[in-house]
This record gives sequence, C-alpha cells and structure tokens, in this order.
Amino acid sequence: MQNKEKPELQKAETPAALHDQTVADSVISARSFSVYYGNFQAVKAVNLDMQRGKVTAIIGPSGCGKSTFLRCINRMNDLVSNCSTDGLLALDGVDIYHPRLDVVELRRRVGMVFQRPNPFPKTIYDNIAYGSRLKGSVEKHKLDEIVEISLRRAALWDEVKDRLRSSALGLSGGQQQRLCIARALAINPEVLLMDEPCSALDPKSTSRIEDLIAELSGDYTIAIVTHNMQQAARVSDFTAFFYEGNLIEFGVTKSLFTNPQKKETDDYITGRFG
Amino acid sequence: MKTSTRKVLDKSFDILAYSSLAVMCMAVVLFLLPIVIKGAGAVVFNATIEHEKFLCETLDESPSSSYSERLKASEAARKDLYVLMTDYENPSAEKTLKVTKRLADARAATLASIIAQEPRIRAALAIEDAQLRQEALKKISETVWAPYLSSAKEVSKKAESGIPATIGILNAQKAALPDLIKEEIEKISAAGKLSFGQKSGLRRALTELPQDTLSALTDPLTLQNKAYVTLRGGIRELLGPMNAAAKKNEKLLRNRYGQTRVNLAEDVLEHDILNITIQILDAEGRQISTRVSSLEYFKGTPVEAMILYCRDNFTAMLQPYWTIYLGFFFDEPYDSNIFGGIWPMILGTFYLTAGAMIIAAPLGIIAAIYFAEYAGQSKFIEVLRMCVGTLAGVPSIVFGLFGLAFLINTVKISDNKSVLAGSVTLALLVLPTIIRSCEEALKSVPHSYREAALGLGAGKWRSIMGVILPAALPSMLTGIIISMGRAAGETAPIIFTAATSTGAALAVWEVFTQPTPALPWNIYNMCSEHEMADKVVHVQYGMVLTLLGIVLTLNFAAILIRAKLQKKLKS
Repeated sequence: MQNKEKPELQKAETPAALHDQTVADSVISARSFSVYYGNFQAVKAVNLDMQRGKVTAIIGPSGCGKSTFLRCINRMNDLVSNCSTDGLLALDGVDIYHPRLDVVELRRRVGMVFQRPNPFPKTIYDNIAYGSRLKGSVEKHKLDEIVEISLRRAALWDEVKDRLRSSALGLSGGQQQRLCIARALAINPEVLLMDEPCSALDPKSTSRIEDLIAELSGDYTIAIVTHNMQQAARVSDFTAFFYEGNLIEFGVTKSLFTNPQKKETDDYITGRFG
Repeated sequence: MKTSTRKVLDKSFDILAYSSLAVMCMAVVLFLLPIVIKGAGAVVFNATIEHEKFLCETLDESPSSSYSERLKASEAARKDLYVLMTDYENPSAEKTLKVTKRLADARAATLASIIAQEPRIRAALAIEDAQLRQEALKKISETVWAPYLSSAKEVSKKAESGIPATIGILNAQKAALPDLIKEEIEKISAAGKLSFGQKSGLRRALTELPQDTLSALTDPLTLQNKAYVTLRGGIRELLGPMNAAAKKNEKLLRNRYGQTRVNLAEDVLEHDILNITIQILDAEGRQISTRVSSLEYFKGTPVEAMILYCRDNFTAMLQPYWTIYLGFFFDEPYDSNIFGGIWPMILGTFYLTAGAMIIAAPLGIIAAIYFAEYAGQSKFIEVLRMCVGTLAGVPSIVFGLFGLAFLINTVKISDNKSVLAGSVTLALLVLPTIIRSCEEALKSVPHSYREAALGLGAGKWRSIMGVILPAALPSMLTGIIISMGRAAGETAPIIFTAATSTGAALAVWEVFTQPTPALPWNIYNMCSEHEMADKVVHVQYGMVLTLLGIVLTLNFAAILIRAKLQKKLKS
C-alpha cells in the first residue's frame, strides 16, 4: 500500500498469549478491535493474528459476530450505514481503517467469496475478466490467459471451457460458487476471505470446494467463516471460536478441537449449544 | 370455512377475474376498432379519377398505366353533361334573337299605339284633381301595354332560350323603356305643347306599369336561376372545373379538383345535386331558404336532364378505383389537409419526442443513479424526493404555461414558439417519471451484485457503470420508452410552446427557432376549428390512428426489448 504514514503495531498491546506467533508472519492482525452497529457492539475487543499462507477458520453460533469480523477485513461493512469500528485491524502491519487508506486497493489485495453465489449477469468470460479490466485495458490474449488460469485454479476449467461466452447464470449452484472463487482469484489477491461459501451448496460441490481450499492454501492466506465444525476441522490450520462478539479461543485446529482450553469452546464443539 | 364454501368463493373469484378481463378487452376493441377501420380509410379507400389527377398534376407523380384511358373515358362521359349546361346557360344566338325580336316588335307596336291614344291622354292631362288624373293616365297605360305585357308573360313562362337568357332579355327590355317612352312623349308634345309637369306625369304613368310587370316576371325567374346556380355549384364540387381555362382561374386548390374520394362524392351527389337549398318567397313575400328535391323543382325544364345525367353517369364520370395511398404518411398537406398527407405532423411529433428524450433520458438516469446509490437519508434528500414525486403529478397544461412564460418569454430560449421550447417542456414533463422508474430499476438490482463488484476492487462509480446499470437496463429502458410514448401524445405542453396548425416539414436546423405541426395538436385543431371539418373526417381518423400507432408501437417495442434483454441476462 502506498500510504504516507504507516502506523506501526504497538507491541505493548500484544497480549502475552500471542507472543509466540511471529508477527512478521501474520498477514491480518486485530488488536482490541470492536465493531458497533449503532449502539449494539457486535464484535468486542478482539485480538487475533492470521498467518500467511495458512487457512484460518472462524466458527461460532449464529449472531456471534464472525461474519461481521470477516467483512471488516476488506471493509465491506462500509456499505452498512450505521456500522462503526474501534481499535486496530491491520493488513501487513498497516491500519485498514486509516482515513487515508485506499479502499479500492485494499479490496484488490483482499478478495471475498460470499455465502450465496453471486456471478454477474454476464458471460462466464466477462465475469472472470471483470476484475482485470478494472485495472485498465488488458490485451486480449493476456485476458484469455488470466481467465484460463483462474478457472483452472478454481477447478472449473474443464467444465466450462467450451462455453465461456454463455451466461454465467446458466451454471449450477456449485459451479457458480467456483466461478465466484475463480473471479476472486483472477485479480491475484494475497488474502481470500470466504463467508460460509458452502452453506448454499450440495455435499458434492461442498467437498469439491473444500478440496479447492486445500489446494489454494500455501499460495493464498485464507480466512473462512463456517457454521460447519466438521468442515472447519477438515480444511483449516487455525481456528478461532467466537461467541457473542468475543473471541473465546484461538489456536491450532487440531488442538482446539481435541483439547479446548475454554469451557464455552468445549460446550460448543460437543454440541451442548449452538 | 367449509370446503364447499371455499370452492364457491374460488370459482366466483375466477369468474369475476375472467369477466373483468373480457370487459376490458371488449372496451379496447370497441374503442380501437372504429379508429382502425376509419383511420385505415385515410390510406386505403375508393378513389376517383380526381384523386389521380391531383397526384399527377400537383404532386408530379407518374401516372398508372390505365390513367390516360380512364381519363379519356371520364372526359367523354362528362362532355355530354357540359354540353347540356353550356347550351342552357348560353343558348344559341338565333334562339335568343328570335325571342328578342318578337318582344322588340311588340314593344315597338305598343309604343306606336301611344300616339293613337293622344286625345285620351290630353283629356286625362286636363283633369284638375291630381289623383283622378293619375288614375286616368294609369288606365291609358294599361290599355296601351296590355298586348306587349302578355307577350312578355308568355316568354317568361316558356323560357325557351333558357332562364338566364330570358332574364337577360327581359331586363334588357326593361332597361330600354325609359328612353323609348321619352321619345314618344316628345312626339306627342310636338303636336301640342305639354308642360314639364305634364310630361313627367305621363312618363311616370307609362313607365311604371311595364317596369313593375317585367320585374314581377323576372323575380321568380331570378330565384329559379339562383337555384340553378346552386345546382351548378354542386356539379362543380363533384366534378371540378369544366375546362382548363376555368381551372387556371381558381386560386384555391380545392376548387381545382372534384371529389377525390367516392364516399365524399356520393355525399355531394346526394346533398348538393339531388337535393338543393333554394330561396323561395313565403306568404308575405319574404325570401326564405328551404331544401327541395331538385328533380321535382326543375321538372319539365332542361335542367332536369342534367340532374338525371349526373345521377346515371356518376361512375362513368368519376371512374372510381380502390387505391392504397401511402402518400398519406409521406406527403405534405395541401389546402388545409383536404389533399395530400400528414408528413409535417409526423415529423414534428418525431422531433418533439426525440428532443424531449435526448434531454430527459440522460438527466433522468443520472438523477436516478444519484438517488439510488449516492444519496443518504438526510432531510434534504427527503425533500428532493418529495419534489420529484410532486412534479410527476402536475397537470400537463401547467408545464405548457411554464414553458411559455419561462422558456419563451423570460429566458428567451427562442423568440417565439419552437421545437426547442416544446422539447424542453416535454422533457420536464416526463423527467419525474423517468427518475422514479429508473430509481426503482436500480434499487431492484440485487445487493449481491454490488457487493461482488466492490469486493473485486471496483470503485463505486465503476461498479455502477459496469455491473449495476447494465443489470437494471431492461427496466430502465422500459420506463424510458413508455415515457417516450407519453411525450409523443401530450397536447397541452406543446400548445403554447411548439405547435402550429399549418406549416411545412422542418429541416433539422430549423428546430431551434421554428414551430412545427404535431399530431396531438393538429388532431384537436382539425376536429374543432377546421373550416371544412366534415370533408376531412378521414384525415382526422388517419391522424388519430397514426398517433395511436406510434404510441402503441413504442410500448410494444419496450416490452420486446425488455423481454430480449432479460432473456440475455438470464440465459
């Protein structure tokens, strides 16, 4: 990001529990980050670090603030009129909510896949190409390359390579979601945010997308909000458990699921509520 | 609720729905059918040879293959009628001379016999009492003139040389009397001097009787002649001028041709030839108008033959044929729309509508984008929205007056009425509707598109232009095209700002300064203020059909475009 001022992370605010994580490795860092809808506090002073190239799952019952938190990372909550934030949320050490931050540039570095597939009412080709065309005019053969690479990465190329010029709305639900993933990948983001990407899909499509997430990790930093604990256990490296706006527990997925530190985590995982 | 009750209610609701649909369809058909049929009559109709004459002579179109032979046939058919008429109006010289001579001889004989009455005259002149004297002189006059006047009566009754000629003869006789009588009086005076008073008294007595009688004879003849002139006018209206010389003298185009449409020709035959309005003397001797059957009125006269000829040779003289006159849409009007087409009106409507949309569509779309995407919820925005909504309900005539007062008189967008002023006024009229419908269209785009576009790093403007506007396009286009239909059909805004009753088709650069005829205004004008409204009924219906056609086509096009775009978006 080309900002004049780069507010540094305040080391003094880093809680002791997170000291063992190398700050240089964390792409997204939250320090006492809160989100308010009017007077209602949806996210309460969260401290969190997500590591580069890893998949971080955010789980929790409905209404616990996980989607709200995720949508703040690429500032999609700006679209909500009465949403305000407090505290620090940083990408690569730079405050996302700094007044002079270029939101457009932020959103190119942090892509998003939504809960319901939302391809544009255009052709498959134009959907993928949309992001690239935003940067300026690109030569046709370059664009063709980008489209093919993105579709291959999203494991959709073989199915649609013959009908790139047909409408994207003619695809099935699972295909549309993979198209949205391809569309998000086409602009080469560093971070991919996924807000319950499989909740509207059938099990077969869900498993394909989970495989996709496994493939993409390493190249991309992925944050995935999910209702499905088993999915979180399957795909993620780290898991954060949110409850009523608070980050209750954060840790390596395996140990959080087998040996949760907090009682609420244990209750949620074992299904006593949620 | 019992199942049976619910079923009955369902059924009755179905019946209600279907019957109201049926009533609506019937109403539409009842409304449209006469317009379509009569409007089509402006283009497809039974025409006469006069129509073709108009096309070939005034519009310089090339005649059809059968034109020359049909022209010849019609001329041949008319020749006999014209011969009858000319004979009647200007009878041969010998006929007239015969009658004139006879009367002149009778008159001469009468005048000569005055001398024979000299003693009686002197005796009468000697009477002291003025009244008695006048009475005596009158008696003498009666005796003297009796034979002549009976001749004159006979001539007038027989009207051998035709009424116009007879009137001329009798009037000529009457005119010559004073001088001739004066001569005879001088002859008498030469024998034995008469005083000036005596001469004038005698002259008066001798002139009064014949002149009064002759007038009494010519008056009814004059009325009859007037009736003939009326009939001749009817024939001229049916067939046009008799010959090329008469045609050249006619200044108005409508008088240079006969009836171009067979239905109008039949009307003329019925109302102006077979039945005419004449002047007669009522019981008190005043002239009043009345309608009579002309065959009865002219029975026994040469005119009867003319009328019968017209009736029996109607087809031969007019050579009717069915034609499709597409020039109705593309020709200029001639002589107050009696001939020709309605092209300037169509063009004017096109200019006004196009101008209105060029101004209103971009402004409306931009305003709608502002309202839907950029405006917040502040009080100011609420007020703005209210203003737009209120403006949508303002009566169109208020817009028209505003256009006149503000655009033409204050801002002086043009010196007088002009298409520019009319277009701006119409644009203001349709702007609120466009803003509203485009705003609705934008708002109805799923929010997920916006999120997806923004999530990919599109700024607000680019996400609107690239994703939201194209997605809202079908609905926006529908709203815009329907507004176009409204702008095309509005009358009140253009009355004050752009419309004239007559005018030529404008060239494109003239739209900034010149007014134009336009369909809505001219329909009103033609139906209410046209001097020959009953002769142009087909034009009125034709214009209504054209305007309806334009509006319905626009609406239909809107539906088609919307369906096509939606199909493209969905598939």
